[in-house]
Amino acid sequence: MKDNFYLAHKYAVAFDFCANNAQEAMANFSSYHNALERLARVKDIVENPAIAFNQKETFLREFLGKDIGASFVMLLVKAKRQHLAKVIERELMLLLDKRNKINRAQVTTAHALNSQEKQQAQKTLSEYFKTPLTLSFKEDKNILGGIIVKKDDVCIDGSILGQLKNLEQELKR
Amino acid sequence: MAIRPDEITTIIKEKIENWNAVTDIREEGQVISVGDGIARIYGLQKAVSGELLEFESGVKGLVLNLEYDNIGCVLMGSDTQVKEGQKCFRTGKVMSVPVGDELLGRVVNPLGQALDGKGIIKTKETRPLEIIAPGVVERQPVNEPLQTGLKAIDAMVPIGKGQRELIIGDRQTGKTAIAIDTIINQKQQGKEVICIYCAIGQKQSTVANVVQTLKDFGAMDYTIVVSATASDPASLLYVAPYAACAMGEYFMWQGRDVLVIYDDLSKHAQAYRQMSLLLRRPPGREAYPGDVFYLHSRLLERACRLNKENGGGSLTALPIIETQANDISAYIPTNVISITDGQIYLDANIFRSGFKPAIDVGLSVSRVGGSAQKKAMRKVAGTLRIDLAQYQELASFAQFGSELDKESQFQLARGQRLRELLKQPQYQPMLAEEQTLVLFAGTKGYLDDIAVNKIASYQADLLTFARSKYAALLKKIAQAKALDEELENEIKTALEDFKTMFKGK
Repeated sequence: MKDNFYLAHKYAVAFDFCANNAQEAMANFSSYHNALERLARVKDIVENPAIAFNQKETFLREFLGKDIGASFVMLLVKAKRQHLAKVIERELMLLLDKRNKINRAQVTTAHALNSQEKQQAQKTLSEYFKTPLTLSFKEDKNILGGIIVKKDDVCIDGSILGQLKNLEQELKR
Repeated sequence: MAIRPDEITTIIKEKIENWNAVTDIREEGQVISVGDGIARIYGLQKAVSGELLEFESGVKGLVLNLEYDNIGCVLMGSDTQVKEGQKCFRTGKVMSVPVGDELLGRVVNPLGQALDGKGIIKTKETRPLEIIAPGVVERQPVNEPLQTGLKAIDAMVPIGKGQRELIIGDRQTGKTAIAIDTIINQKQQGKEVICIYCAIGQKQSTVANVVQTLKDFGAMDYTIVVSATASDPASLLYVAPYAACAMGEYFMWQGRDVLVIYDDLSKHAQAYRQMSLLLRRPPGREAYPGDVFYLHSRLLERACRLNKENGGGSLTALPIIETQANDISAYIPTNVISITDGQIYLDANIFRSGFKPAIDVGLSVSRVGGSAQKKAMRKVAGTLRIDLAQYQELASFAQFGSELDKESQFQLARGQRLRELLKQPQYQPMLAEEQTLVLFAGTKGYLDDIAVNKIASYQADLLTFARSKYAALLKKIAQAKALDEELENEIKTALEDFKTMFKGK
């Protein structure tokens, strides 16, 4: 797993270097590898060791198209590293965010937030982190209530689940 | 004791009612690999070297490697509880251990947790494991003796408070015995010395024996045993001496005298080598990492004697090194020899010939202890080293059966008696004044007409005689700042008095 991150980072840097419009190329790459993952029959063909790479290439060319995103998927298939696609995507996104000076944060709540609440979250968190943030919102019923914010390594856990876990630790002490 | 569910329910209810829910703000990373007591973590980009991390399972880890895309940390517990993909949190703290008087008489692991089954140790304070040693401004020279109770050491390789004296030798040559005797001897001293025995990579049975011995001699009251045995993870062995030192420093900064025994630093270096190799640090000589010298120098540099402004406390370090086949030129022994202020070299051949403690007088040295030695002892034992060295040289000639002149025969006879006099059974440390009396008898020729096989009984009888009839003289020797002519004459009178009695037996 350790090597995955390192390798994925190298692939991401190379992809970013080759693509004219990295943002668009990344979107294409994401849709292609998601499609490969989703479609069981296609996945079977790609992962079948009995099928030669040139046969897989012909099939994938028809299926995917001819842009850089498709070539990158094919490169991974040839190197038998298609399992790295998700990590590469994440590394690529981090690279692009760093270049475009975008700070992302993920907000997880038990219930969907309305636009006013989202605006409030945006304002409060930008003030807290002292930088403008691009927020993505996620629903997770398991946290029961409250909010969890994750930005880079920092995790602010104000969820009911987190507090119950802390209470459990306290009672065990 | 009956369990009362109502009471327990009330306590739990109270805790829940008083529970103050706060939002957790933590930095978290992800475990990407784990094995052999080492975990690699993705994320935690702000973690610093030496920081303590906490895993989801509660296991703690110590950051050692900061790499391009991951962190290498050693686990302070079982690696079976840490899984790939688990979260790992920064604590923002460096590793620290509980310190305080509550630890006295206890056997603890390097994290300060009790191992003796006497319950949880609740201390008020903690101290960081790794600190920079006190600087020159805070120190004063070593000028007060730390009595080991062993004649051979106190007379020829004296140790001062705040000194670092290495005990080195092969396996089974009595290294630990010297350390234990020194701890036991502190009971006889007027001013209490806190003792810390740090067992690194030893068998549990050996540690149990040491603890039992200390208990038997009533030495556990002022002793802490820090134990990281062979079955513990390498990370615990690595932190053990630093933990022992931190515990000792607490007392030192309170103005008290502390003796710390690291038994032994060879295994400590081996544990560090294991960790370093698993962390993929480049191996050097004997596969030890490049910073193995610093590993021991930063530990032993913390031994010192503070000046009056800082309380005047001291921390004396007695590191132990085990050699292989008497080879003191191996990597770790030479490193530690160069760091310490002298070494007590124990020889396997001397041990086998029945001379215990098996100290090799030629190779043993104390670089700073001489100035700390009691004046009376210094005067009495001044020529002892030379006499013994001359004896050893002559003895090797005598083996060839060559005829010796009268002077040489006299030196041989004196040497044999002095050697016999320096023999000392285990767990029988001797008071400084008694040592002075006995050595005076030896160096001034009072033993010359006593048969070699009678030396032990002479010594025992002399001490019994002096304790009963010349107790005031012993007290005078103990308090004397120097051995003046008057005191010398008094000692001579006592010895003459005893000689007539001993011969009369």
